[in-house]
Amino acid sequence: MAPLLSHFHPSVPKQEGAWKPRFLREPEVETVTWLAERIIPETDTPGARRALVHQYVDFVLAEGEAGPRERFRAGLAWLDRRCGTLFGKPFARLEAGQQDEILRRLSSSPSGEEPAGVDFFGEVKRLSVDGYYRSEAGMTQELGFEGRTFLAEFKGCTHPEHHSWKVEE
Amino acid sequence: MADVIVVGSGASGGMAAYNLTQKGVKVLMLDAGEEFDRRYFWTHTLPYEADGRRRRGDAPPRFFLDTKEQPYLTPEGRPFDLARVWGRGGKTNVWGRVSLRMSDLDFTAAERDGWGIPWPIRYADVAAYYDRAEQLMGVCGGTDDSDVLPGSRFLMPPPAPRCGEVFMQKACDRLRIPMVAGRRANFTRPHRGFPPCHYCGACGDGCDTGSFFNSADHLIPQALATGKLEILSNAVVARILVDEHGRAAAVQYFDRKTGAERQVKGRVVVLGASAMDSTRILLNSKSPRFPNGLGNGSDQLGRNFCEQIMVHVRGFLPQLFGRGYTNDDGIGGEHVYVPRFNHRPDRPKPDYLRGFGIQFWNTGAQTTGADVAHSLPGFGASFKAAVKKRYPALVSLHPFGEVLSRPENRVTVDESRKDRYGVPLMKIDVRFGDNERKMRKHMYDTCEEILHTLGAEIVPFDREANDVPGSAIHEHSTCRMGKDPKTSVLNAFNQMHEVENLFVVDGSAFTSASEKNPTLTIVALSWRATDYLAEEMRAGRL
Repeated sequence: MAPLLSHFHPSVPKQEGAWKPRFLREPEVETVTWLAERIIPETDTPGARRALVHQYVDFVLAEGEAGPRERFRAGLAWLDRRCGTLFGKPFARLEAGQQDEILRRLSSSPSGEEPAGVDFFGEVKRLSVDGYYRSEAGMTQELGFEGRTFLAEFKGCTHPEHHSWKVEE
Repeated sequence: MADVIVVGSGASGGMAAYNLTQKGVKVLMLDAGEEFDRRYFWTHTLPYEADGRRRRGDAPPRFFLDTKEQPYLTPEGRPFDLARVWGRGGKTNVWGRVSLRMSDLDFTAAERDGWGIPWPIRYADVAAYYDRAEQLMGVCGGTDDSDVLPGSRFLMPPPAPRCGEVFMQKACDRLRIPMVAGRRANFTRPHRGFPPCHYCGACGDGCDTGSFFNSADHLIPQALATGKLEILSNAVVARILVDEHGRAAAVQYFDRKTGAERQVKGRVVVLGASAMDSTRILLNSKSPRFPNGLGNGSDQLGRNFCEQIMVHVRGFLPQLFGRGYTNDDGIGGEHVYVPRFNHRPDRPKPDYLRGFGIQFWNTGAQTTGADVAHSLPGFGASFKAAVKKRYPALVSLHPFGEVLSRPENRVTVDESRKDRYGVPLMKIDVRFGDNERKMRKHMYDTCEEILHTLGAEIVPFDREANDVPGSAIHEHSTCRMGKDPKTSVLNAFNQMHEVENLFVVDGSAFTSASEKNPTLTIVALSWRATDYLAEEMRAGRL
């Protein structure tokens, strides 16, 4: 992403008519959208934001159990508090570089950040990854998936170089 | 009154009904659920399409029984995962389809190592039934028989290996670890009026074309066509009731829709409700003559639980990095298999009993990419690129090891805890022991060795970890067969020692688990038991 654009945050795309979150509140939607986008950003293919990963995350949380749901909400609050301390703004208002900085702190091993934050990052990453790689953008545009369909024949590995490959002595 | 009441409609109950009705025996089948309608399967629904449908309130058929509807108990700190499918065809609707013959290595294990009781049968007793079962079930596989995996002559051609599996073969060759074609009940040729497998890889969601063996398509319709089978759906069996001579006289069940109690009478009862539920039914069938459960004079009913312990190791093959997507779906599971090898003379003698085989499902680009992404650290553009690079390079190793049967690993019923029908709940108390832990080490070492041979990146794993008991969905031995009525519940024909008109034909009858997936053996043994049953009835002895 060009540096000049790094703080430019277009609004969350609206699709499927007027999508309304079932669990997340509006400011939380924004935070989740940008968290997911920093984890799987737009490159030559769409990132999590255009893949509507925030909608997936909201759906999973809404359908899931209350405990994990409330822990997720507490995690979002922790993140904004921590960003306030470090950068003076909540996560969604930070520049991309600052967003990456807090995620680097949370994902480095060992992390110097509080376990509550580290666990929250793990959960956000897990949900973002699930949401992105099962989305149409993630499956087909990013990874080129063409499966789960009718094949008259299954050819298996047709690469001569694989069949001729030898284990090194 | 029915000649024979069959409880359960899966692999074992389905086969019992199939075989008996072909022989002209009148069968009443009690099924705890209803038919699953394949028009509504989500076989080809992509994950993002599924998300959309779910948001609109749509849902695929619910195969697995909700434990809220029918709970089971476990002791604090000893979880057990019990997967049950109540409905026409049972678990065969969504099963893994791995079809491995047991061999005399399995049937004579207790004689050789002294653990547990001997099987009352040998491979030779079952071989002809394996032949028939493989033909009926449309099993595919190679011509690579061994002392572990005999008798492949009726198999359909196996599917070609995927890229990752080709490399696995090379590593195993180098390590002198045997690797054979996988054996699965997927039709690679048209079979019994059904089209062949179309290689969509989504068998776990139910097959929309009936192209793998399942009882609902390949046993029950044929039994119904004889005009000899009647099926009662939504009949949740609670107890077998006995007459004054101690013979099975009736089956008590509750209507799953209305909760109403009903009883049906039959000359013979065949239990095929799956291992845990058949055991529960028998333990709840208490009477003055059988105060500890039906046919439980030996106190062996519910004891000796065994199954397989599973671990999982994953890696990425550098040889396949960045190669882009290839369709690796195939027959929905590995196309290769490592049969047990730890007993071979060129191997060091293991410090544990029995053995393990290795399966390889989820090799290559069979899933969404989330499986790969969950294995990688970090975030951002470099993370996204790392996922893409490794997506076609995933290999997964899943060793299945035989769990020894121990009397203390057992199922009981708790009179103080009742289900919605007022019937005592079952309690499952299982833990793995030292033998499993030692075998687990060898399982992990072998997986590492295979992956190191290929220079693979190994996804970090915990060497103390294994799946929760029950995860293999291969429960056995809680109603085991044996020669001696003091140490077993059934005889060599799955007939109860103490109740001659009661047969138990599911996995609970196994004397030991072996490392192999059991369904092929369950079908073969149910076929054999009901041949015997029909002959006994014809001769007027039952």
